[in-house]
Amino acid sequence: MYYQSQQAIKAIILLMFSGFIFRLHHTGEIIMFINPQYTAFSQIASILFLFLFFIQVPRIFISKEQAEDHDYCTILGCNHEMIGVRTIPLKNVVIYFIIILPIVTGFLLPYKDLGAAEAVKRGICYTTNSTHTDHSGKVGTSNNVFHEMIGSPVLMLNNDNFSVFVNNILTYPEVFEGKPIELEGFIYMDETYSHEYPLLARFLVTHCVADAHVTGLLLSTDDKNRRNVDEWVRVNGEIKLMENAENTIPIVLVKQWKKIERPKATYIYP
Amino acid sequence: MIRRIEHNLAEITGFIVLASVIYLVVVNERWTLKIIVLPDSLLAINTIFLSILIEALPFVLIGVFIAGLIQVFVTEEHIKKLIPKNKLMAVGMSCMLGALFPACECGIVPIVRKLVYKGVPIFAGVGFLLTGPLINPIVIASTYMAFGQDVRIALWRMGLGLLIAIVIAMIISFLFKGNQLKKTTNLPELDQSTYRFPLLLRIKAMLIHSVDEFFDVAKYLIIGAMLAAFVQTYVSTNTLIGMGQGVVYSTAMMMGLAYLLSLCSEADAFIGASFRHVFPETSLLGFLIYGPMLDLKNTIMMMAVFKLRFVVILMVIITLSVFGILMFVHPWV
Repeated sequence: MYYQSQQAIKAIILLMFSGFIFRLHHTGEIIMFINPQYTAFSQIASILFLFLFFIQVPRIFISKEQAEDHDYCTILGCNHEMIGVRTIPLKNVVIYFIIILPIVTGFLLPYKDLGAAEAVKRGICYTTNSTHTDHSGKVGTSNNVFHEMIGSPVLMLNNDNFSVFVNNILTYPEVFEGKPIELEGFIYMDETYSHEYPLLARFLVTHCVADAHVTGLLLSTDDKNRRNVDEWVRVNGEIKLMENAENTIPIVLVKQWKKIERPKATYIYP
Repeated sequence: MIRRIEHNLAEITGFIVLASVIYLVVVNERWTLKIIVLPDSLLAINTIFLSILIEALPFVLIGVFIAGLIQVFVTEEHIKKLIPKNKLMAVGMSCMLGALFPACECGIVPIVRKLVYKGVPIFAGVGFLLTGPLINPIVIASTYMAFGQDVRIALWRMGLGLLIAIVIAMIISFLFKGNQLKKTTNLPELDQSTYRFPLLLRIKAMLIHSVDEFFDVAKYLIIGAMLAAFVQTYVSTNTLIGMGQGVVYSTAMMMGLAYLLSLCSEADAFIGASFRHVFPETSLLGFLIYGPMLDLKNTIMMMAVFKLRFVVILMVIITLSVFGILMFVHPWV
């Protein structure tokens, strides 16, 4: 009976991957990494890793007969030489170290929600994002949402409708001028675009956190205390229009301002 | 009795390991390192790094399973029969196949490697490699959604992407002979005789190949994801945008950005769309077409599989073709 240490390491790594992904789903922390719509994929991945672990386990020990039998090498691969199996070459040690890295950092380091510091590094979009000027009700499939928005006395933004509502407001600012609005998010100051206005922002995660991008509305307020970057707030206000060099930008005139706790799910999944 | 234990040693060890991991995962609390205070940016890198991995792993697993399948069940004769003799036909076929095949740019590398190893000409392999992640139903749908239900960009992306991929594959067909694979890859000897083994053994062989393939690919995926996370955390897109104007500059910029960010092609349209108000559509197309063909993550994976010289030349050809063709069609976009 021969013990193959490299096969054993591989088996343990496969199981650790399976366990790591399983634990993320078990604790619900998976939504800090990917859009919940796609969780099924990574659940399948977790199961596949477990399955591969079971495939790998019988390779840890091979009997003397198997070790000397080269009959199946053409199909199974001939990697059961008995010389030097006990010492792992340095190159392979490095490889296993690299592969184990995400599991180690994944288990040991705390996870971080993206905030204003990361928003600065990313593209941001709060100006009119389309060039067409005809407002003749041609709003594509978000037509229903658009009419619902016009019909409602106060625009109440929540996690489900945030991106659609903000998008509509940015695209057709004139239509929503004077409309009361209520929304929450974190405060973010953009150096390049809005020196004097803070932005009430949220991160949109389409697929995974790597493609997170910021969306939100500018706030018009005189209070200097309302510029604490990364502070979560709930704002009541009214949509006003602001003319700048090229286009019209909607801005929320703040009437009520309330600090809130950082929510459990900080991202929005469109 | 001892003999019996020895016989089941593998199963027993496996069971013990399994039980302890389940215990760790379900019962135990996480031992987060709270004592060591790490800078926020490092934690952000870790989070982005893990998210890229978690997103990519399912597709990589599918990739290695298909690679294992090809290794065991597809022989050189099959390939010879299926691939047309005519170069142009072969390129067209591989690009079409890639367009129908939903894949991620990292999951497709092991598949292409196995196909080329089994005798698919290198230019056909490249065609498949380029169109696989770029053109597929999911990508088209997400592009359509990201650009506000505007079908134009999605069609341009698909059509131009296909054209560029065919051009690149044709150029490769004139420049390179041979399979361009690295010599060191420890694949078992090629043979036509796997059919003499029973089906069950062949399935087992396929799964074992998948495991080895995974370990072959995973290290490069992890290094690539790490680099991409690093770039995402430290490189500010706003400063890049502020550096210059004009369609030539902005297209080059967007292509560079696509390369560095290494986004999955299913999600990159949403990032591309957020640059809509700053850049012309040609530059956005540069971002959308170049990204799935070539990025930081898959460069490292290709270097693991193909000869360095081939990878470098392929990168130059892809870059020049995408840029050149985009500049050419710019007046019509």
